[in-house]
Amino acid sequence: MSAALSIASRVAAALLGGYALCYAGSYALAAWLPVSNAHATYSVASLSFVIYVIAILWAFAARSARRAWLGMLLPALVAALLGVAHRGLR
Amino acid sequence: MKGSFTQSMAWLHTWGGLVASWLLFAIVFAGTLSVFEFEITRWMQPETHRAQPAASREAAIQTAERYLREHAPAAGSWMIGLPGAREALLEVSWRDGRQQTQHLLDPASGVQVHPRATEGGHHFVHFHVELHGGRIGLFVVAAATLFMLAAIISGIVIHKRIFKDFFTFRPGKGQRSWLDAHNASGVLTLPFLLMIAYTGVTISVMQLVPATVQARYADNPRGPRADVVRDFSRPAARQAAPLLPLESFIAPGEALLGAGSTGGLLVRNPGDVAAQVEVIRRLDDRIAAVGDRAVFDGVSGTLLDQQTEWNSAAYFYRSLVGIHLARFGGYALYWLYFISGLAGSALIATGLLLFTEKRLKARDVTGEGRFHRFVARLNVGATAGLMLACIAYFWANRLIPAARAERETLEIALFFASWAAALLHGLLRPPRHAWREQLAATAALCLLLPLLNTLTGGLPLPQAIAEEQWTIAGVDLVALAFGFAAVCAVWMLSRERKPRTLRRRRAAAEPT
Repeated sequence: MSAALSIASRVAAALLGGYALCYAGSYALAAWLPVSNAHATYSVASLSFVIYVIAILWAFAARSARRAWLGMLLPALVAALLGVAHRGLR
Repeated sequence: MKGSFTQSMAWLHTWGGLVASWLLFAIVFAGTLSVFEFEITRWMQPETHRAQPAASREAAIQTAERYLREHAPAAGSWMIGLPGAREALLEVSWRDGRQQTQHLLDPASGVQVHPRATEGGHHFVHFHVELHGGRIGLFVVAAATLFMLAAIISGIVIHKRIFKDFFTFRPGKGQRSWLDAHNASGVLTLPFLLMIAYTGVTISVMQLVPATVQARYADNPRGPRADVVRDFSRPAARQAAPLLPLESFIAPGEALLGAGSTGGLLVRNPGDVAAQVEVIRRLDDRIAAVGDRAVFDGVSGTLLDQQTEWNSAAYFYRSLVGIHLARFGGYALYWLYFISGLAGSALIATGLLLFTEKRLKARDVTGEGRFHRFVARLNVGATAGLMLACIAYFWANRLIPAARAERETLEIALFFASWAAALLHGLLRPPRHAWREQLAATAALCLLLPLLNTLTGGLPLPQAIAEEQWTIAGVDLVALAFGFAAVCAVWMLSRERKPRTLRRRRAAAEPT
């Protein structure tokens, strides 16, 4: 993969992959935290962007663009499944 | 991207910084001006400059009540906003069904004031939140801010000598000086920028990442707020009953909320047997942006309910919001935010200059000169041009006739037009000239602003100082300070080349 393509791929991983991870992670945390609705929503919302910033750093720290995407999408998938599972239980 | 962790972080810092910085300079600089949102709005409405304060708080409430009884006897609710350290006028508003009306009164005389239509200082708030671009603008600003957070953290990683570099400054050495300035302003403002960027995106987190709301409130965006802010309202009984004088609610209200803490009053169903008077605590003396309230029966005066305790997670979240809004701490803190914001703007601007200084020097080697020259030209309009557009907005505010229809939209259109013109000018002129010309124009507009204020109906600066009207004088004085700074910058730019060529000639002449 050329350098330019690798960079474009990493930027996409940071922005889009990071958003997916931030979204799914926030959903799963807010859904599963054993506290009241207001406590869950406000405390997780206060920390949502910590996930995003870590994801952006990861996108550029990873050894290859492929690893950047994998490290982003695998945890996002796990979080999304946890969220769906919680919906099913409700 | 091969190489070590530090190298990849250096790459992120440089390129992420470059792409986001053109936007970030505008966001941080406009956000810095937003600290003085209320003062700028006051300045931009010269019709309010000669308003006189009320004799007392009780007198102001009586004035507002008289006005509301006369103008809105049948309204469903009344709202009174008391003048404060930053708001000179008495604000009354009322609601009839869905229609809300707001009037501004001179607190001493109770006469309605008719200020010109303007977005005032809120334009800078609005611009730095979403670039006047609605939902898309909000997402663009959030993406740039997140890249700034990543750029700051990667900046720390690539920078191992933070403390030492803070005390290093080598002036007059081109690229080396820009790097020193970039490092010093970076270390100085690091905690501030991390805080302001994080809390800034977090204010809009429930619009940007609504996952937490969806997980608990079935996608009802009003759900979380309704869960933590108690609703005291009750329907009207459609049976007339006299309302107690409104100032009589201050003492029992402040017994619960704290002496001198009343920011406003909300009256529901005035003149009805089900009337309620809600005493609302002011927001400007603590970090968390939450409004404590006590609600009384409007006819008997008995306490009905109160909210002074908050859900701890919501209180934490609203503290993050409050830290960003900076309504607490008084003028000492507003100045601290303002100066930190300016240092942050300087960090971004020096970072942009550093990028081009470093690369233009190496352009013959890499052959990427055309791109770097383009970056150098865009930098001018993105930094100096943005500042020029900001001061042009103040001029637009006074030069557009006060009675002109849709003048508030035209003011903002002129802000954007000035910025676009400056960007174009920066692309067309050689950077050296473009910098000088745009800074000179900014200096002229800043230095002449107090004169414009006087000529277009504002309170003249000497009089504002004599009367200690610092909310008005402050805008003129800060404009003068910016003007002098711009003059200094022009002066430095125009003499920069000479000493260096001299030195080189001398070095060449010296025997080795």
